[in-house]
Amino acid sequence: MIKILALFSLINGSILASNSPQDESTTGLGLSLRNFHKFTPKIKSLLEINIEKENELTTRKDFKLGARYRLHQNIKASAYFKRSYGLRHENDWIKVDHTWLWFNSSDRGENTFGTDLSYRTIFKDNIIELRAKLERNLFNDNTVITLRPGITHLFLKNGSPFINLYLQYEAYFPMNFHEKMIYKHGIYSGILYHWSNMIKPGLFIKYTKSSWNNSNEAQSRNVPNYEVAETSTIFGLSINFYY
Amino acid sequence: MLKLILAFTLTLSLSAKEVGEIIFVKGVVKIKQGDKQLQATKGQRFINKSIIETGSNALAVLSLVDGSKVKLNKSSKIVVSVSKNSPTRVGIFKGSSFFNVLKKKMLSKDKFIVKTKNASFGVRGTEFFISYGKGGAEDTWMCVNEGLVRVSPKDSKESVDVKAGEGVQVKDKKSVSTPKPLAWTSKLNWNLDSSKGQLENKVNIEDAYTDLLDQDYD
Repeated sequence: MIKILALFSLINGSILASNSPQDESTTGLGLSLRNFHKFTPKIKSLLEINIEKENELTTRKDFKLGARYRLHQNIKASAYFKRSYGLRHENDWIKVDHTWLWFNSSDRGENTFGTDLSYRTIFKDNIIELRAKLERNLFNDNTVITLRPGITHLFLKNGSPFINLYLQYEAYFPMNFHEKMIYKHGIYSGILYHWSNMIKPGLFIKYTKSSWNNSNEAQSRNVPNYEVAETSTIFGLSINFYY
Repeated sequence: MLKLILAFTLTLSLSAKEVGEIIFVKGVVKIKQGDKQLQATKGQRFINKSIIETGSNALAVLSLVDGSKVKLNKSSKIVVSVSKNSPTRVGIFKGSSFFNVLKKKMLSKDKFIVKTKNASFGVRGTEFFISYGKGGAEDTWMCVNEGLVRVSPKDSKESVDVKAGEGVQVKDKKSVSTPKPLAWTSKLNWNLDSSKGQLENKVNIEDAYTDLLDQDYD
């Protein structure tokens, strides 16, 4: 009898454990292609393609289109539309055929509208920037405010920059979902080479940590509360085009 | 004897009009004095309203009678006018120059004025740089290394004071950009004395004036 109880307990424990996702750590590659076209001295286009491993299951693809306006010498504002594939959300933890798993969102297209405001100033050979971003994902109506302070050191040659070295910290504040004040944050660092006035390639490393609480389905099925962490480290190549 | 007196009188007359001397020359530098055009040499004196022009790989440093110095970069052309009762004037037709004006010149009003087609620069400082007509454009770039320069666009009543370490751009005859600190200002070659090292300025002015705050990277 004791053996049966022990076995039952073990099986039950195993089932409980599988109800919630496990901490996940991903390392992968990324690619960012950007194009900035100057329409007027104050208005530029924003075209961006980002491809990077989102987690062990999916690769995220973002296609961004927008415009940036220089409000003041130190302030710029942008508005953009983004189509994304492979994004993971809290509610993607679902039960399929008696098995709990993360939904594979690789083919799920999501539309996001966003706007941002950035303040920049020069201190010696450095640009110090704070960018605030507001995004609304129309797929799940999630609204997020992102704050990103950063510093870019410019290596000047004959008075003009030829290498940028940058370090940024980004924190995501969920406005209408999630229990935590900051559900995702990370560090973004890299180097950009001013190959020419039109092409600037670079290498970057991005470390992001996200936390997930109970999905809607987990809540409806009375899964005990969980909070799991998902970290990703991306080594990427970026190429900026200017024309 | 008469010839000697005439020659002496002529020499006196010319020397009275001399307003400066070429103290350094590299490459082809031409001086136009009235209808005459000469190839400049070190130690050569020039008269009022001389037009001095440097070739594509040339450089010249001028010392003016008021104590000011002008370093004329390659492919540049200026006219110099010095008189006792009015400010020294330098007009820039093209190219770029470094100016070093004696401190006693900045005691009261502008005593040294640089003019381009679209602006005038009243000098109350000692070291500044002006570039005009780069790449065929009719704009003027100016930055100050020491002291103060007052910039007045030609068709505007407003003027802007530019302090040391700051620079401005005059795009047209009516407006001047807000002075802003330019980190690279100190990287320009401000040396006007060949005994103290290289005189050539290798900073690409067009690139250097790139608005660093307008560069988008992400």
